[in-house]
Amino acid sequence: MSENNIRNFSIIAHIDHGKSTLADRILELTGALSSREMTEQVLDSMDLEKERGITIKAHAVRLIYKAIDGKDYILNLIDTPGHVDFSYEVSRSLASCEGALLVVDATQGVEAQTLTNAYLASEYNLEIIPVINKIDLPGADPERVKNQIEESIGIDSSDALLTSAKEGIGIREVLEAIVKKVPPPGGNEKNPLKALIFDSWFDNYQGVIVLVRLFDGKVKRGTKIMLVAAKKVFEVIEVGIFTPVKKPVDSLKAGEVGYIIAGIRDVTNTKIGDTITDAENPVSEPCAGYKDVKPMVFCGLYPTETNQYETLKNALEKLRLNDSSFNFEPETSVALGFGFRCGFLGLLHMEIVRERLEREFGLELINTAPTTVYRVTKPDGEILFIDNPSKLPLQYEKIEEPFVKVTIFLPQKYVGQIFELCQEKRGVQKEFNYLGKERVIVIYELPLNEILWDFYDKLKSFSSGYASMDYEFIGYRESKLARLDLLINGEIIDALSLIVHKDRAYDKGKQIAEKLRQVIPRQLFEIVIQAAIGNKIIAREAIKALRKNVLAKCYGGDITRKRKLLEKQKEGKKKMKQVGKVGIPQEAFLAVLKVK
Amino acid sequence: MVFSLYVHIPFCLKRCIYCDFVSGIYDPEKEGAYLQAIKKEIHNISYGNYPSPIPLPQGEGVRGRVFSSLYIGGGTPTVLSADALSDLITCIFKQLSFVKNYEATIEANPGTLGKEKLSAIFSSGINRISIGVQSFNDDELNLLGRLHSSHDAEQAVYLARDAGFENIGIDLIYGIPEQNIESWKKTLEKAVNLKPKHISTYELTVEKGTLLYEYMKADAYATNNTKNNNCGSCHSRVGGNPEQSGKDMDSCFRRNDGKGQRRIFKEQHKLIPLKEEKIIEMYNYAIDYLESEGFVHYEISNFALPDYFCRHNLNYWDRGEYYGVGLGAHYFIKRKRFHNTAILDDYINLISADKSPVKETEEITEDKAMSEAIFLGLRKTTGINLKTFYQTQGSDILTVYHKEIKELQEAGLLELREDNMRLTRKGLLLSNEVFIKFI
Repeated sequence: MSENNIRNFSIIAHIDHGKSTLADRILELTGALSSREMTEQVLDSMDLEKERGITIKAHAVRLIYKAIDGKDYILNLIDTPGHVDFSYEVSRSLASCEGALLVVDATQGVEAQTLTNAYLASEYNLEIIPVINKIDLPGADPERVKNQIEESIGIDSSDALLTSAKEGIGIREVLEAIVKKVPPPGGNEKNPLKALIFDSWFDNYQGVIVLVRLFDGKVKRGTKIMLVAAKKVFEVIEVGIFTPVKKPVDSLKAGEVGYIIAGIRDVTNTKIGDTITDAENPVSEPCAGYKDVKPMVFCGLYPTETNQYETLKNALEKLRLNDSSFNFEPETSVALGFGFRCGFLGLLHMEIVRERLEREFGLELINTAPTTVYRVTKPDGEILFIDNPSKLPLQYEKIEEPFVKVTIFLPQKYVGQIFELCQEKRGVQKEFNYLGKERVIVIYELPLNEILWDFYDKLKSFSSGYASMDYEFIGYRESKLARLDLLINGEIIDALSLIVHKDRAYDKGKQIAEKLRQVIPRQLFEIVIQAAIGNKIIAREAIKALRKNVLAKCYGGDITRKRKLLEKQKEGKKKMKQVGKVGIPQEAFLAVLKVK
Repeated sequence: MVFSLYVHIPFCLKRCIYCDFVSGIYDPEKEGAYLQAIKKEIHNISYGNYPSPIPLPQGEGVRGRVFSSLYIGGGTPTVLSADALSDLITCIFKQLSFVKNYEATIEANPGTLGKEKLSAIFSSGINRISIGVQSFNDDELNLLGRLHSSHDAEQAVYLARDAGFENIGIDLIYGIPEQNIESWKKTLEKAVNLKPKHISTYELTVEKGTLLYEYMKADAYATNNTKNNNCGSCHSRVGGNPEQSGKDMDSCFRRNDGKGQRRIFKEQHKLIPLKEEKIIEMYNYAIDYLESEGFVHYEISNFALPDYFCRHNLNYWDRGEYYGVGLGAHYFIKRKRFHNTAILDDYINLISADKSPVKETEEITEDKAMSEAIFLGLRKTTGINLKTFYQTQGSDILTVYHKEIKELQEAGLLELREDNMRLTRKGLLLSNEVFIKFI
């Protein structure tokens, strides 16, 4: 089949607007999978992805479609992660396509992610095909959504497709539109090999599997390939495609999408965005836009039981095999013992890794409050990057923190609360625009630190769930910050230290001390909690000693019930981290985030 | 080795607000069928018609074995008529053998006792009565949802004695909302003056699914008056569907697990739990006072004159074997623990169909056995005899739990004296904190 019959496309959408369901229908209709074989949402293969309703890893599927014009077309569907934490991965997937289906929920309309994804797609000059989905729902209003798309994104949506992926309505029209509107890939297989890596993962049997889009050239078994940024050379063992079943082919050519296996043992060599070329005939100019993505959010991960340190280390190494965007380094906490400082792309990424560690490796973990990386200039001019608040030196020239540009979409009637929220979080408003009569786009610049934890939840709750947001990193800025320490029975608990804005430090210290009093259970002795800035104690709370925990009754020989009750109590204690004599529950380490 | 039998009577005239035992409102129509079933279960045990999964060979009944104690508990066993009780008791003694100086206890509610009933019980062979007095303060009794007055309770003790009972026990509850130390002192004093052989003092426990639990929650009140169209004054109703109430009587026999049950409350002011210090003061007072009156504090919640410790309950703490008969009854035989179904109709139907009423079986592994031996043994104030423990469990407790014991000693919760390990006074109140170290 000639490259003129190839169409490479992605589906982009705000979360829950029906991207995965649409992908499933497309797979079904092209016969890639019969409906009997369909497991719900094939492309989201990780359990966690299914549970959270998001796509974490990109995948690519080659489909054969017989169009109305009677010709067969190869459609390469490149799935994209649906969360802002993975925006770089999204950009690489989009860079591998010529077109994108922009799926918008007919009842919800345009949301923050719709917008950022659409902008991203236009940045790569993709042909954007608007698809208004969920038209079967009672609240569907396709006309309104069309207007929104035109106003906010500026693309013609007069012939936007109307679908209900759930009900299978309008799917063929979508495929026809792909064939007609998305341009064929172009490129020349006679040119030197130029392939963009948009995903890679580790397979226990075959090593790293790399997903690529070939822009030029050809690759087959035996080709000596070079990874441009990694500066490594490997020999190709196998190339192939996913249908979605993995299927080796003889070669991959310009314009095609597929996988390469080349005996690579480590995903750090196959960074997303890197270019693969022929080691013996390298391309003069690699694919544009390569970035070494750096973790933005850090936290300490510690096993609740010290003897699980090795297990944790092995587990982190295993996860890292599949995820080059997350990193970890051993660290020691006075309070928590041996653990790891881990860096993530964002909060969701952090939660996913933590959940996988607990679920797949049976670990019980304490995670410290997530923090951003601070840039500290010492009096001698030396610059430090601080990813652990307890490491902030007492003397420094200046401290800078990362700022983000946050785009918020919401109905106009909630702006009051949202303004207040952003102000409380030290935000500065940059833009305020109406989108139609009722909806508003506001853009704020905020310290990343302030949106780390509850910002999104608050945004949602203040707007009855109607607001949506997206953010991007815009750089470091100087702030008036200080380190706040928490002491338990006179000892600084380093894992509880945090960096706060000086104007709020006093208030925060008081609130956190009080919160800790609430979450730390009473124990056999009195517990004193203090908050301090430097040597100055700014708050004090006490937890009285436990004096009574006894089962009075005799349940007619029901010993099992007694034992179960004791086991439950024991289980509760096991989940706590022993810091000296004091048992501290996980909530305590996150308590610092649960105050205003 | 002590060998005990427990018989459960799951009926009450009214459910007390704190109760989460397997019990429902007395229904004369169910009484006959239930007693029939119990008697059949006793017969089965006797002749070895064991419905699986009881781990004894078929046909090998317990006729050859000799029971040392019997305990008829509830519910309220004395809600049954004199005839029904004497019929049941007679059946037990006829079918099963007991040692000569057996202990046979019946639990009694003062609101259900009369001269004739007590005589019938005594003359059928019951020689110990445990009277659920709970308090000698009428306001407290009222709050707890008891049907009797303090006067009734006092009379019940006299009547029992007149009927021939020499071994009388009184159950008391402390830590009742609005109770003060003075009132508790009076209750104890009155109890002592009635000269019982045994006094149990139970701290009021708030269990989920009880009315008490609901009353203690802030906002749970409806002001509707109860329509007692479902089950007497129990106030419980399944699924909140009034149409079903007639046939859902059985649900009242399930343990209230807080699921599936919705309650309609009588107008009731919120109950505020007593402060911990007050409860501790009450507990400590009871120990000091009762000891000064010659009672031996032999278990966390139990006091008795010398020679009047409850042998049946001691057998639980000593991990001796026991059979259970009736709804929701528990048994411990050959290192396995069982319990019967707690749904009345299921129980009756299973027994009449010659099927096992056992709902769950639990194998007690060596680890479990050791932890049980510790947390049950330490309930007794004499504690655990280390030599005996070594003989029965095959491990030296001081070696296995060296670190834990040291910590608990340092915290002042546990003490070692010669060959015994026991809870201190402070440790009694924190016994769960001690026990979990051995789980």
